[in-house]
Amino acid sequence: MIFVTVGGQLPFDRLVRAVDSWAADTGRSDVLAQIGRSGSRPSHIEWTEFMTADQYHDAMQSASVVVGHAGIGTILTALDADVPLILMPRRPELAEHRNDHQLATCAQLAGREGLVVVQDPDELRRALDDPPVESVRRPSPDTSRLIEHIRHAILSDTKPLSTTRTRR
Amino acid sequence: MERIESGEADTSSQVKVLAVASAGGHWVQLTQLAAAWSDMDVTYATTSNGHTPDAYSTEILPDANLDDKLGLVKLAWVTLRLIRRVRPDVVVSTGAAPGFFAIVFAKVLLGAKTVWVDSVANAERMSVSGRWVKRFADEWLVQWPDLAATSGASFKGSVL
Repeated sequence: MIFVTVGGQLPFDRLVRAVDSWAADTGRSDVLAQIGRSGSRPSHIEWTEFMTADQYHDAMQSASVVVGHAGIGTILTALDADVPLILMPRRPELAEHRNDHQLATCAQLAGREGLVVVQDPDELRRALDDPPVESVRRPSPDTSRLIEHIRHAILSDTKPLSTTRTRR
Repeated sequence: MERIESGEADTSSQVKVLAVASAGGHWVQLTQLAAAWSDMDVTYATTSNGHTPDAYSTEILPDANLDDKLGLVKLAWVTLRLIRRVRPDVVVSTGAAPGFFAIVFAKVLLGAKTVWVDSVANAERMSVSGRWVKRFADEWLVQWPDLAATSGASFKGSVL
């Protein structure tokens, strides 16, 4: 099953329409899309505007790949569910988002195995034709580094209350 | 899986850790970092709906935020009692308000080691509780390098 999600705040028609037309062309019938409030309704795939947290988790667990906007909640939930990801960042100049945070997030995540970033409907179609099958490796090097830092801080000598050292 | 430095294994299991996070995204991030303290004497605290690992004891705290001042007072009171009962050596939190109170009380009353990790969802501005906890946090961390530069907090990695 392919699960498509745009998050709980705004619709993301550019993404949903691209998946819809791909499904029409390929005859794919096992696609479920969470399209958001007032999202443009697709014609060739199953859709719903909203999902409960449980439904969302279940959909992530059942999916062979998740296609989503690059929202932090979506990304973290998919990583937790061990499902490969295709991400399309929302673009502020297209009024899809209020800032370029999703673009920055994608830049941070680019190149990870199991995660593909696409910028437009053509790239999205190509990614759907040949989707990632491995889930994203956890923990990432950045996460291992943070875990080590916290562990070391916990086990080192206690520092006095008045000091918070800045670190680079 | 990181290696435990020689000598640490003897003492780490005796370190009493209170790991606190509000249910939802904060909680997910806390669990991503749990390898840092999983061999220690851990108590978890969350608001309702947090799915806690079965092996560890879990405390439930009433959730509250700045829109709910009375709720914050109640949360502070319950958290104070928790700190006095558990008496942790270390408090770690990924936010939000419950973690703030746990860190403040543990630092002021017990001189505990305290670690704040601001949510990875905050890329441009640190959370309110994150900014307020600065004086009480030995480790005051954010998960985006640009945010570290503008806030003065430290970037040491992220859950992504």
